[in-house]
Amino acid sequence: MKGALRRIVLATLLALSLGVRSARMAHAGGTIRDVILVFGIGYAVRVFGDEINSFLNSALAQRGVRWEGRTRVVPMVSIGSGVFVGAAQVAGPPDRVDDVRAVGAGEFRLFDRVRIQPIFPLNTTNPLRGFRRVPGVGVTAIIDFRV
Amino acid sequence: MTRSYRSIAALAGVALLLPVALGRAGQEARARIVARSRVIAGEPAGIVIVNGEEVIVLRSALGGSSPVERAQIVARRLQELDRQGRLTPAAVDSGTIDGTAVLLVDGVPVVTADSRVARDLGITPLQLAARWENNLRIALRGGDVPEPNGSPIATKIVPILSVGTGLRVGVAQVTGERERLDNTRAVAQVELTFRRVVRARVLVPISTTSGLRDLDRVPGVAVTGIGDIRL
Repeated sequence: MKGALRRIVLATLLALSLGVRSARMAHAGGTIRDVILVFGIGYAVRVFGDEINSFLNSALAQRGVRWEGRTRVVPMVSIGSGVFVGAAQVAGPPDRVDDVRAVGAGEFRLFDRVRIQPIFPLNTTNPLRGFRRVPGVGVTAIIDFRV
Repeated sequence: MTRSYRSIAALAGVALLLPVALGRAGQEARARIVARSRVIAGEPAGIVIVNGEEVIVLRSALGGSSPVERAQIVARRLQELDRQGRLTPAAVDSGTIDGTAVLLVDGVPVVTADSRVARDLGITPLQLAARWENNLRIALRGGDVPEPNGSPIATKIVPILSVGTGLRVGVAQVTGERERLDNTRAVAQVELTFRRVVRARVLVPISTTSGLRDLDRVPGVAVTGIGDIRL
């Protein structure tokens, strides 16, 4: 229940930020759609995270070997060149991977050719209540959607 | 035309830098590896000892081999990998093959996790394989390395090559345990975009022991930052 409340707050905040971001997002129908999209993706990642992780580990298996226990799929928000939400597979030492709850990322472009993307694995899904970057963990796969 | 020259120059730069980055990994000193037998709960068990440290305990027979014979086979595999210079702490891993938990050295399966030992310890076979991995890494380091929180964490900058939505080159910051990072030479990225709305990216840290001939994925290492340029 507490987790669901957190997600609703996050989704609402994201939707509000999107509402300011552009004229398209100012449209009420667009905002509601985005809330549903953000909430739906967060929920889908929570429910199907293990399956997505297992699929990725199979797809990235090398000579039939799957490295398990060092990866996990968590929700991701990327801000910069638009706002994207989705899922990220994080990897690192097993005890640190267990600490990661979400990934935040920036995406900045210069002259449309140069791209800079810092990536932050975080220990919470609600950064408003304080967050910490989890050192030693990064991402190995991302799937996200523009909202 | 100018753009073509720039692209060629950037590719030439990457081509020059990659072989340097993909230099041969250093070999470490030989390990002392032996197999022993012991009676546990009235039954013979096979023990693999590395540098005086008990690394693997086998209690199940498999494929017509007794636990002691299995331990001897495992010891021979480790000795062979050691002779080839592939048995280093950074090369030790655990994972699954067709759903079976295994201990790996440099991507080579060395031993299947013993389900009976796992059951006795109250853990899963994959957790047992991870425990053997930790045992072997500590033994290879000399057995006296305190590792209460695992290997130290570090970051490193390596070249990145992206394909999919255009060709991009640049640098990536990777992070993970220091021993694994030492083996990481570059990152390969595959990027796909659908109507600028959906994006999928796979980032694979890669290593090699002999130049470009045998690129391997490095497990446990991942990307925390990218800076690249489209060619």
